[in-house]
Parts: sequence; C-alpha cells; structure tokens
Amino acid sequence: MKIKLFLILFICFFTSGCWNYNELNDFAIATGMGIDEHKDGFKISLMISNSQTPQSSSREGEAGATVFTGIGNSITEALNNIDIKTPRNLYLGHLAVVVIDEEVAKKDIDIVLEALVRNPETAKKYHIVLAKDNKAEDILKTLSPLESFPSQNVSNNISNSSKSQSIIAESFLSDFIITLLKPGINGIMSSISIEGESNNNDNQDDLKETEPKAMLKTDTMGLFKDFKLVTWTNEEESLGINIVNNNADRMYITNEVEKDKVVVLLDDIECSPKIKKDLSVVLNIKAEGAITEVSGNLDLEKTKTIENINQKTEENIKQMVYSGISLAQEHKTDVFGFGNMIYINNYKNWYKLKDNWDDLYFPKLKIKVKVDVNLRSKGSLENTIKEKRNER
Amino acid sequence: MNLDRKIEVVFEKIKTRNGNSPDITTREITIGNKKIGYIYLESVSSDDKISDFLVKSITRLKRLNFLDNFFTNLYKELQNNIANSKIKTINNYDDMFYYLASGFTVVLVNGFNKAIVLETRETLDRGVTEPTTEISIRGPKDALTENYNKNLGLIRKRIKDPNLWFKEIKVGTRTKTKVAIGYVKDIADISKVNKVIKKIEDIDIDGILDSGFIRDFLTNDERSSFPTIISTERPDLVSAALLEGKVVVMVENSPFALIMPGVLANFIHTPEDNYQKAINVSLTRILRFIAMIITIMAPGLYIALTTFNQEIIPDTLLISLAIQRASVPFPTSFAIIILMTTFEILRESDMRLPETMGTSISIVGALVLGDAAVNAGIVSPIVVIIVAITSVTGLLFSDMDVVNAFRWWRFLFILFSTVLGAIGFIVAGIIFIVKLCSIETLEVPYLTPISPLYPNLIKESILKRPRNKMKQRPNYLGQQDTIRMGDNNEN
Repeated sequence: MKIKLFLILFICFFTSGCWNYNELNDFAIATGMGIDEHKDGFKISLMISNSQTPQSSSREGEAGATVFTGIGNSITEALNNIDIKTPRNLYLGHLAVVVIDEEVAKKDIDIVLEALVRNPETAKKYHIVLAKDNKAEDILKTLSPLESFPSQNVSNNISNSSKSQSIIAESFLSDFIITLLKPGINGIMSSISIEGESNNNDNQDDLKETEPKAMLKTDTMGLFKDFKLVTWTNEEESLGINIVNNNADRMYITNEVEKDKVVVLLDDIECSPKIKKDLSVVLNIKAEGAITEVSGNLDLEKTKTIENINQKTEENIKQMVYSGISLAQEHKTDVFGFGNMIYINNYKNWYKLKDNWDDLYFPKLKIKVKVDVNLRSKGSLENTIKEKRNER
Repeated sequence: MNLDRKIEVVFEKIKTRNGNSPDITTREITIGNKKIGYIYLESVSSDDKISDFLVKSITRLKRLNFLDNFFTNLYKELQNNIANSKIKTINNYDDMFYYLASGFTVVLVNGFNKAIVLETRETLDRGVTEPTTEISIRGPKDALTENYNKNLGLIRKRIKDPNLWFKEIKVGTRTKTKVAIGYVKDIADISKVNKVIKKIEDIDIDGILDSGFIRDFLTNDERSSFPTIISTERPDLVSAALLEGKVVVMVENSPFALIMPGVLANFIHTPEDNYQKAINVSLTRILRFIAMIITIMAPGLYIALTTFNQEIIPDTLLISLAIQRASVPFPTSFAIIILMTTFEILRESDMRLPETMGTSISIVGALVLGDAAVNAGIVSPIVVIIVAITSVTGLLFSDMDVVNAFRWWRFLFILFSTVLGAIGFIVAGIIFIVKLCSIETLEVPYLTPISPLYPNLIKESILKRPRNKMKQRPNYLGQQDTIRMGDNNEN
C-alpha cells in the first residue's frame, strides 16, 4: 500500500514537473531593452544575448547578440510582437539596461515605468537611461570593442562615467521609482548618446577597425518634473547637482591659479544640507583630494600656493553648485529633495507647502553654499619639474 | 557427547564425524603397558612444536617410569615442561573439535575418558603491515591484522593499564569466532559497554567471518545510509577511542576493529589529523566540511538554479551557460544523472580491478567522461565540471561508508531540485538535517556536538585544539572520568 502511494506520487511529480521548469536553451535572454516612440504606440527593441554567432561551435561558448524589434500599442503588446518572431521564450530576468528615447520621456514616462515595474520576471535593479539625440534602438545596436555584448557596453559605460568622474549619476529603475514616490523630490536620469555616425558600428565586422566609427558617450543628465523630462544639464550643472545629491565619488576640477593650470582630483566629497526655520538652505560641502596635474611653475612647496589652490577649488565647486541649482530652479523642479527634507523635519509645515512647492517655493528658495576643500596629496612629485629645474 | 575410553574408538569417531578429512593425523605411542594417542589437524598445527614439546615429554615420562596414576602425571609433566601454558583437559567431542580446529593437539590415554589439549598452532597469518585503507604520513605505520591475539597485543602495548578490559564472547554456532569487547573500565560508560555486550551475546548466527558481519547486529539503522560505527584498521585510532571512553569490538580473523559510538564529526576526521599541528588541521577540517556540503549538494543546486531560478546566476555566466547548453538534447538533471552513473561505474570498476589495469580505466574514464561526452553533445561542459567537483570532493574522506552515504543524499537533492527547483532543494535540505538529527547510537545523537550543542567540544571536533589544551574527554559519551590531564602541564 505504502509503495503504491509512493509510486503514484512519484509518477505525478515526475511526469509533470513544476510549472516554471525551463531549460536554459529554451530562453532568449534579453539583456537590453530600448523603448522608442512610434506612430502606433511604442517600438521596442530587445537585445537577445545568447544567440550564436555562425562561426562558433556550441562548446566554444561564444555569445553573439541580436536585436529584435516589435511595435505595439502598449509595452506588453510590443513585447508579444517580438516573442512571435523568436523561436524561444523571451526571458527578461537578466535585463541589465533599459534605454528610453527622449521623445517618450518628454511626453510621459509613467506608462513605461508602470509596465517595467509590474513585470514580475525582471529584477528591478537595472540601469535606466535616456537616449539623447539618437533612437534607443540605435544605441542598443552600437557595439564596443571592449565588451562582448552591446547592452553590457551601455550599462558599464554608465557605471564607469558615474564612478570615475561623477559627470552623471547612475540611475536604476528601483531607485528612480523610489524617488518618484517620495514627497518633495524629483527624479534625475542619466543619458547616453552616440558619438560619430549613428547607424554604424552595428556590425561585428566594424569592430575589426582600429578606430570605431561610432562610440557611446554619457555626459548629461535629464531632469524630470513628475513624469516628464524638462531639461538637460551641461557638464558643470551635472557636477553641481551630483555634489549636492552626494552622488559624486570622484571628480576632476581644473583651476586657474596664478595663470597656471592645476588639475585636482577630489575623491572624498561630502555635502550636508541643513534647512533653517525661515526655509533657507545651507549646504556644507567638504572635500578632500590630490593634485594630479600642474602646468607652469608654481612653487608647490609653499603653503600659500596650496591654500591658493584650495581656495580656487572651493570657488569652482561653488560655481558648479550654484549653476546646478539655478538650472533646477529655472525649470521649477526640485531634484535635490529639499522639499523632502522639510517633509522629514517639519511635516506640518510641508502640508502647507506641498501643493505649490515646485512651482512657487522652490524657485525662490535661498540657498547658501559653504565649501571647504583640503588637498592632502600631491601625487608622486613634491614640486613641479620646472620649479625643481630652476632651483638647480 | 563424552569421550570414549578406547583410543581406537575415539580415532574412528573423529574421522567419521569429520568425513575422513585428509588433514586429520592420528598417532599412537606405547609406553610400558600404556597406550598414548594424539590427534591433530595437519593444516593448522605445527609439526615442529608437536615433536619438540609433546613427543619429547612423553618419551621423558617413559624414562622416569611414572606409570602409576598416569593421566595426572602426564598432565603435570606436560604443564611443567612446556613453556606454552595453553594446556587443558577436556572430556567431550564438541570441545575436541573446537580445539582441533584451533590448532591444538589432543592427547589421549587409553582407559581414560578425558583428553589433554595443548596448543601447537601454526601461524597462518601475515605479520603486522602498513595500513592500506587509512594512510597517514606522520602517524604510526602498523595496522591490525587477521590475528586476533596480535590485534589485542597491538592495543595492549599502547595502553599498559590494568583497567583496559577485554570481554571475550564466542559468536557463531559453526565458526565459533572470538569477539573481544574492549573498554577502559574506569573511563567508559559501563551501561553502554553492557549494551554492546548484550547485543553481541544475543547474536544467533551460524558464522561470523569479519567485523563487518557483526556491525549490522550492533545497530538497528538499516534504513539510514550514514555509518554509526567507525571501523578502522589502525591500532592508534582504536587506542585513542578507548582513551576517550568509547567501546571497541574486535573480531577474530578481521583486520578491522569497530569503534562505538560514532558521530558524524568522527567520519570527517582522518587518522592524519592526530599527528599534525592543530591550527593546520583545523583548516583542513573546515575544508572537509565544505567538501561534504559540495559533494552532497552541488548537482542539486546546479539543477535548481539553471532550470528554475535562473535569476540568481550572474548574467555573463548565464549567457555562457545557455550557449553551452544550446546543442544538448537532454534535460539537465538527466545529463547529470547519466554522467554521475558513468562515474560511479568507473570508480567501482577501478576499485575492483587489480592495480595494473587501473590506469587503463582512468584513461578511458577521463577521455570518455571529460571530452568525448561534451564533443558528442551528450552533456554540456559545465555539467562535466559539476560532476567532477562532486566526485573529487567525495574522495576527501577516509571512510568509504560515509562517502557512499553522501551518494544517496546527493541523489535525493537532485530528485527534489529537478521537481521543485530551489524550493525542492530546501525541502531536501530539511529532510537531510532532520534525518541526521534522528540518528543515534548508544544514546549518542549523531550530530553531537552541534546538536545537542556542546560549545566546548565544537573547537575539538569540528576544529582541532592542541593536545595540551584538550583537558577534558569529549563528555557526550557519559564517561565516569572526563578529565584527561592534570593541571600542571598547562602553561
């Protein structure tokens, strides 16, 4: 009896298996998604990364990438249109980057975000970027000689520019949504564009050339107001915004000191904002760093010179921060979350302000910036080579 | 059946009862008016000893003319002149057969219904050799042999304590095998010792040929694959176990002693552990624990992750796995089972074959398993890696039983992962832990000292402490005396 029962259970389980059983080769693994506008709704391009390159045999494990596109009234419909073109199941679990065309973002990004977040298959921690001046599809297709597949190219490019120079801030889907749901703060999304001829470098053979015809570049950020893209930043404004938002880990600043150029690498930047009772904001920015390049014959052994450099750097930072703030105030979008700080510290007051915060109060907000820079290293040289030569 | 008084009758009866066995030798000597006869089995007795001791003594008697009260005199004379003290009188046939088979010579005197037996055994076993199954680089190199007395001697010479007691029981209605239960009287938990003795006394079987035969009678865990009795051929391990307060069972003609009770941690230790620096051994032991987990769980985890929970795998790896799998027709679990079965078959054949042929098997194994299977598109390369790492980590343990136990559990993990993915894997894990917790031998739970927790023992049994810090015996055995060393050598 026991054995019979066991057999029945055994057969039940083993002939059916679990509902979500899938072998890896049944999947079309999508690592990148591009969302473009189309007259029928959306045009979605998916980068499928496990298609095989014709010359590689199965055991070499060489992956090739293919872009499939589909058009639909909604995101799901467009995805379904892609699905019927592929022989395998679309698998979005390893999506690494979603590129959204700026035209879509300028209208309303809500419907896109909604569809992306609602999909239970995807992990929510992937890069979400805007395609500036180019179609998202073209950006996905742009190959880089350094990465094995294009979507990785995009996401690594973003992390790298964010981490090494702080020109842009990494934007993940989950973080962007969380920002949207907080009171008194608006979102920022980094952007990506193609330098060179677009519609080029989408062929594997193009990679064989020493100088690729097209490369991806990340240098600006898009500021959002609610669900709409309102403006782009330039480099100075980006740096300023990233400093205030504590998104700047490392940055290079070029100063003019006594008519010479001094490049400084700041690698420990901390901004602590304080909001006062009369609703003015004080930003205390502390930064530490090192000198990386000096042109001319500054005498670096003098304390006075170093103080000068410190002071110049402080001025430069102040300049960046103010330009970032004025851009945000001009477009009436509080991307710094000052409103959110009021909400946290003084929520009763916040309920009076919240309806008109972005349009009325934030643009008139008085913001004071205090910067304190401390350079602690000069790199491998004590003084400039020129100065040393003069001392001979 | 009592002995007959006439020598001829006795000779005749012995021969008929043994079916005229060719090795039965009978002789008759006449001294004065007394007829003396002796019987021995040529195959197990030494001719030299018989002529040196027995025949010479009898001829001496003749010269002395001790013919009155002849049997008693003969017994005394033999006892006095023969260094070998194993001399006895018997009076029935059953005893006689036992002694004959053990290599004794039976001396009969016409007119008495008694007989004298004295040992004239031929040494029929090899000497003390190096251990073959539990190899140690640094430790002692002697191993138990098939000789029961030598085995007891190897233990005795290590523990020269009158409290080292051996209780001898004869088991097997036909083989009459001697089984010794060894324990140190003032350390071991006597109730555990009595339990073992009781179990061995209760055995009713025709024959015991090896300690492996007795093993199954000592435990009632035939449903569990994990071994609960340590079997070892190393006298140093036996002695160490005795000093800890464990019970040792040694069986005549078996080079393997049984140590009870065994807990899981014991099987993860190797003989080498006792002889190297504690801090290094600790690392090796951690490694062995990790290896145990890998060898049981790796294939199951791989199946669960690749067929159900792909989101855990990093994307570059996932894509590479997907490409590798592209031309493989079978489900992952099936491919793993095929490869694992092939490996087990190879391992088994390698073990059974004489060494000279072993190398050819490994060449075939490496080629067929490794490269050809992948090229032919039967399995994907990563599956070969998984099976290889599973099998290699399984070989880290010196006890074969525990390696074979892991095999069962590995299969269970594969089964559950195939059906239910990561959830199945966790279910299998729970079953595994519950099962381990439910095993016990001689009232000692199998997962001691982790569950029940003995915090002071974790350092000693999962890791290792230096000898001079191990003041106490592992007290989960319920010893009478748990202190191993005095205070004055701690510095």
